[in-house]
Amino acid sequence: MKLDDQSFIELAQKNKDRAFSILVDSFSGKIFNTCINLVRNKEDAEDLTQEVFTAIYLHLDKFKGKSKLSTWIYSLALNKSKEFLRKKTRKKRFGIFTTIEKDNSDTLPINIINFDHPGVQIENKERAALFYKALDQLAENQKNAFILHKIEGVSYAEIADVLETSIPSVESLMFRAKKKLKALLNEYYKNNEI
Amino acid sequence: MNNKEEWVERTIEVDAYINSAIPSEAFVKRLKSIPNSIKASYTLVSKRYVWAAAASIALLICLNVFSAKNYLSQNDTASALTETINSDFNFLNHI
Repeated sequence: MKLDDQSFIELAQKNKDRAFSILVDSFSGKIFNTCINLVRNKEDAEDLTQEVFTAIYLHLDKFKGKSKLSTWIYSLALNKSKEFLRKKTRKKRFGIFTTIEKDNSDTLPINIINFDHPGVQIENKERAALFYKALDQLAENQKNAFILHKIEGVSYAEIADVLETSIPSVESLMFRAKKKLKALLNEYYKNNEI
Repeated sequence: MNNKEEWVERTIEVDAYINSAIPSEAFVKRLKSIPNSIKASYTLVSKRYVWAAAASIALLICLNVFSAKNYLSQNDTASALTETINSDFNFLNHI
């Protein structure tokens, strides 16, 4: 069952639990997918998705339809992921010999950590691992825009709402993201003679 | 397009090889049970006990304020008494 935003708000006022159940059916896949692409771990992505949906349930009364429902949910997912990654980085900083600064160079780190993405077939695992490693070298907004558009298929207009920016800014983020990814992958290709 | 460019393009076109990760049915069920678990955690402590705890804290604060006031006023009386005794003693010494 799919509802437009207005019908959803009306249903949420009458029967919050039913509205929430419909929301889970419509968005659990999308949010889980966004989370797994951001945190790169199935268990973490599940925990994060659960956190997002708990926040949705707790704040469902406050959603008045000022933005699109999907925009609100994607924003929550991005914020929760950001919080999660920040906590994870903070934990890592206690470790010895851990780089805390972002690498701005145009080369990919040699050690490519594989993660088992449920949506990637075995023959593409290496390519996907390389891609994710390159993706990690991007600025946060570029990375978010690229994931939302290229993997989730979210429109530029909606990404602009989620990231609270304009459509030309999203276009620019995407352009710079592709340029940086190409540079990184070119360099990797050259160094590794694929 | 040479081999390198083709390889880079193919790697960037992620939608061609990274499919959506589908959450398991058990996980979706877990998500759907969020309202129940939230309600359960809310009903875990009844309002009666919450009010009782709040009242106890308020009573504790009141008693502390009362005893502090009492202590301060006793101190004032005691110091006044000491002063009187001291002056009387000095007077006697003087004689």
